[in-house]
Amino acid sequence: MLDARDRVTGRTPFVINHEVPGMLHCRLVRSTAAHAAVRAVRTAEAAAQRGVVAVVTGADLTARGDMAMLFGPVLLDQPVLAVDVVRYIGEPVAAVVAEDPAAAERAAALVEVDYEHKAAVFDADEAFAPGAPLLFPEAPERDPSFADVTLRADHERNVCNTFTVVRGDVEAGFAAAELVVDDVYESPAAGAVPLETHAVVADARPDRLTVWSSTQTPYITRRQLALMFGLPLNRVRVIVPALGGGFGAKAYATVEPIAAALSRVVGAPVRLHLTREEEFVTMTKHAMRVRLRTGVMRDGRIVAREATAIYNAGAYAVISPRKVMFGAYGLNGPYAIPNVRTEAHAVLTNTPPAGAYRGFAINQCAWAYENQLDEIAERLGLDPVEIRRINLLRDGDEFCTGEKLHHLRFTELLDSAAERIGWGTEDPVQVGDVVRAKGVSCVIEGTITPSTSTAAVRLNPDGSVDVLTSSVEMGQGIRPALAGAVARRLGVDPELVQVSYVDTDLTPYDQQTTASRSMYSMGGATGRAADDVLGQVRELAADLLEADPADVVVTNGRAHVAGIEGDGIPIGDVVARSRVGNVLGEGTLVTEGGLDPFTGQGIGSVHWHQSVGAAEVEVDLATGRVTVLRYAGGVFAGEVIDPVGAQHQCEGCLVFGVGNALLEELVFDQGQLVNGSLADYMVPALEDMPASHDFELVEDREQGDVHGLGEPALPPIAPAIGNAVYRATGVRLHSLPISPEKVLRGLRERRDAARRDETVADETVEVHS
Amino acid sequence: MSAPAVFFPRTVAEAVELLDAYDGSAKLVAGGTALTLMLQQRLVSPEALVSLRDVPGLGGTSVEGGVVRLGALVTHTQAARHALVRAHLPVAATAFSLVGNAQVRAAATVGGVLAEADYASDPPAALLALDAEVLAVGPGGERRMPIAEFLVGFYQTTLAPEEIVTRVDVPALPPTAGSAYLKHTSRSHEDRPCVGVAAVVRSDGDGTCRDLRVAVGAACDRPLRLVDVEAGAVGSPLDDAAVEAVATAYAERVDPVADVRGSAWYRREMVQVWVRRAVHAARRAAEHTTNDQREGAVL
Amino acid sequence: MSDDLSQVKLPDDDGRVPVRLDVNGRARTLRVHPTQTLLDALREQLRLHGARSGCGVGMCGACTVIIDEQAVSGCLTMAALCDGRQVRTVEGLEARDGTLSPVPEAFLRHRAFQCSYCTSGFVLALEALLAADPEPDEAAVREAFSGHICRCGSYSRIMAAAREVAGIGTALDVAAVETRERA
Repeated sequence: MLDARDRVTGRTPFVINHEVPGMLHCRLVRSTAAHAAVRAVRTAEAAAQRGVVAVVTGADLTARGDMAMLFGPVLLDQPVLAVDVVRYIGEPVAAVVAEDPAAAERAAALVEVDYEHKAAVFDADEAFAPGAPLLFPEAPERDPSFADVTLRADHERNVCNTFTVVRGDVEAGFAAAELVVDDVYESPAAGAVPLETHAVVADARPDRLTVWSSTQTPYITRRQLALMFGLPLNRVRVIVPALGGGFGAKAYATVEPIAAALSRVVGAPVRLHLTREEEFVTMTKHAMRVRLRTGVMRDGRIVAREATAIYNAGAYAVISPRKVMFGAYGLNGPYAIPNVRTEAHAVLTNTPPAGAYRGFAINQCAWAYENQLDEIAERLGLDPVEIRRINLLRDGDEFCTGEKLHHLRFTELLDSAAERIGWGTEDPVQVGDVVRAKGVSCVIEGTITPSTSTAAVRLNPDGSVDVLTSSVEMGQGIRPALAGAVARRLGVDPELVQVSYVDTDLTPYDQQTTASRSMYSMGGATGRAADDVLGQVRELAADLLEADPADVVVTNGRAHVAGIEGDGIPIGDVVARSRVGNVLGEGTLVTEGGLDPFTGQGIGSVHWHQSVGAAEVEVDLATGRVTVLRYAGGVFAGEVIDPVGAQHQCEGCLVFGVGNALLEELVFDQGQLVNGSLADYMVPALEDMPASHDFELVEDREQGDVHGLGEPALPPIAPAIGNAVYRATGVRLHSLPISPEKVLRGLRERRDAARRDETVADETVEVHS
Repeated sequence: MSAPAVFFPRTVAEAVELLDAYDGSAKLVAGGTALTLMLQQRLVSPEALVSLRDVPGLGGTSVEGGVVRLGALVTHTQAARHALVRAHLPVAATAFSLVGNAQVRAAATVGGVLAEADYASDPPAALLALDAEVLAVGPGGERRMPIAEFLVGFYQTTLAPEEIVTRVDVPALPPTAGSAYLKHTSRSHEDRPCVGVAAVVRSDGDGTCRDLRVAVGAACDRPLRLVDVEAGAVGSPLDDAAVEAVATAYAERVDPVADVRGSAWYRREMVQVWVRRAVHAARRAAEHTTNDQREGAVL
Repeated sequence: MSDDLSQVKLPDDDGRVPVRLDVNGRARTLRVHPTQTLLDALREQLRLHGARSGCGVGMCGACTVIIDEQAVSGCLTMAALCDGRQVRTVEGLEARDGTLSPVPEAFLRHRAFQCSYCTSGFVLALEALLAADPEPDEAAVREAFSGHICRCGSYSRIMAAAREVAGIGTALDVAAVETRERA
């Protein structure tokens, strides 16, 4: 496999390995105030330290006048370094550039900042309420190139965007409903925790900027930096080697503008590598509160759904303005619901910025609606699997966006997962203090649409092949997967195919490596580029074979006249003998779509991910501790390109799902993160994982569609675990994570309630006797 | 901060002399895990680092007169695997085997973990239940303290800055005693304990309790032992009701901390549960050893 | 320990002290800040990039190296205190002719990695375990992997690789992705 050897010998090229001659190191001074005016930044003592080259503040950068101070993918709201105001604890205020990291760190501790504190707001509902402190009294400008996001910002309520989906007549639906369940569900802020923290090396020259970055969005970062420094796009070069994980946290510029600005100031290359503690406050998963009201008929049919999601976006918008769309349609869930009104608001607060995160808001939505659906099932006396079967979307159904859906396999995915987990056998089972039970859930998720990928495939005269792509390799295995796909298309040995790392000077445009889009979108682009190569090879071979190009075909890497396979020419030889140097094919895949932000109608996704999960858990009733014993997942994959890679992606989702369900939560106290270390913030270790798991990947090759697998397996996991915990204990938690303490409190409340009921019953007996 | 000097003394006396000379501004290094962390986080900035690495005689484990002697430089891994510890102090072997993770156990030492006095640690409770004594050497010579007097609060010991822990003496458990150390984690399996309980039980053939020792760790500022409660259980059968009474007493009298691993309420509940479970486990181990005439307890 | 090792290391004008290490069989002399971690020294001075910083607190295992046969966290080890010791890094598991030792070889064969930021740590943990105990059981392997986080989620393939190289069982009970073709 491509580069596999490097992976086990320590040679994988991460940004943190990258050195440039004369490179300096940087350490940031971060805000200790949640919301404050910056009155003074005292840097003299730090600047006088040995090895320190410069101490730079936001005011210093502003005074230069040669760069824009604000950046952000949609809204230009984030200062490179704080200028007048800080909006969260951890915001970069100043930077020390020094000859070595230790000197920078020692000096950074000596910078003093005077703050004039302002009223701060940390909870999104409070920030949304009238009279709340405002983060931006005036609306920030837009980045001109994110035209596909329509803004419905309301800065009087700290809202950076709102998205609404309306289908049918929701009031009529509720009027007709025989049972209405209305509740609030919460997911906390969490960290993506890529093991490699954000890292960048920036080398700014007066007319050119080169950045080696651990970004998932090289082309967007290039554009952001070009805008910031007033450079043409081709004077900004973004090079992305291997990433040590991304999971969304490395999408959109974060550390790159800082390092680039500092490099300009000192006239030398600058490396910035975040500490784990900094990583936790650089990009978070949105805390989200969902109010969900669902109306059903006695037979289990869902007839109305109304939902409001309040996203805690943190202090800066980042990608929240787009993310509200995913939550708004996501709250419909994978069910055929005739009457729907959902709305999502992204609300700014004085907490670290929230951005992209594996699952892109669908986790939080699924936690709400799959949790509630089990509650509804119980109140109707229906089996959880049965109520899902009744409501799951089927081929030809319309989604809440008005799109007619095809290739739906939800029911068979669910039936299979239920069977594999042993649904229908005795449940729950108690032995001593320990009780076991199972839970299921189903989720629908879109991919980013519209979107664009381009690629080039180059056939060399020796038959080897280069794939030039700007898809970022972050461990998901996109490079080996593309190598395999192109090799298959050309009919050559995958070992002959090399796939580039990203270099915007050399590798063609790709929108971004997020949203599980690469295998579909870049896979499509590289496929077309390979087809382009084959077309050119046929033309060249026709000359060599003295045949009509229309009669030349390529099979198993040989060009030949149709029907005469034996006389073929290896395609590399076609290149060599034609003396064209190489054959360069190009491919582009553009998807169209988009939703109206007031009604949610249109094309939400070029295709829809279908995913189910079934979990078996064990709960210690004395301690509340939950152990996931087994997990059975199922995802519609279209076509599996790389079976091992697909398995890896699904197990990766399980790590995130188990973490989200049981362990992971960023805990803040007045805006101060209190568990910003891996000793205090827990991610699943080997022993925390289920003893067994399996994922079924359903294919439909006739359809010819490849689905990305980075995310779809994730959203069903936490609700499946939550539903299993309920069946085991009778405790239905509405907020993640499912901590032992919450479970135990729930058990105590149930016990106390039962005792009260007994007391009432006793009294009743007395009255009657 | 100027760079600290680094010393590798060859004797305990030399090390003490260095610490004394630096008058509190030198840091002693054993396994170095906790100190490296504190240095990286700039919580300390010593003028000197005094490594015990080259001091001979601090890394041994032996038994003498019914007392297991654990050298201060014995690592957690060594303590957990040592035949003498497993045979005579199985509860300590278990506690050392559950600290942190394999890499930390390979570096962290018996002396270091006690000198650090981190409340959220496993060995202190086990050593308290075993009536361990800490030996420390300072400018005035050697002194010996029961662990209950050594650990006085959150990260606080009675060790003077110029004193060095050289050894921990732990009376071997009688072969008929059963013991258990149970660690409760409230998050990842690799988390530090939310509550840890060490229990030692010895009973007569008729089930009458002859010795009960229970130490609760990680729930409060330092490990908790209630000797009056222990004594109250001696002389009568340690049946389920008696065990529950002991657990209740600990739960009522503990002054629990609140942190990311659990609220005070939860900790109190867990003290009840895990004292009960640890005493039950120790009782079962005692029955097992009594029946089988085997040494130690299988945990 | 040789006698010529100084008992006292006083920082020079740059605040550095000398350290002599045997790294992957090669004698190396470095000048380090007395509180500098071994991880930083290996990465920044010797350009050995296989050990990586992940958490800085000894919880993730990405910085694991082997010192005198023990797998330890490079981020919790001061380089200055390793004077005279043998240090092995993942780079030392590959011979000059490219031959891999059995552990990385097994990880390679099983594709027991995704982003591979954590891989050196898992490899070295197993390497150290096998050196001490050539026939470990599954529990010992799992214990050796405590303190190692694979955030990408390659645990089942890591265990499959480890079982194979440790000779535990024969059947791979890696949870299989069942790929079914349906009409």
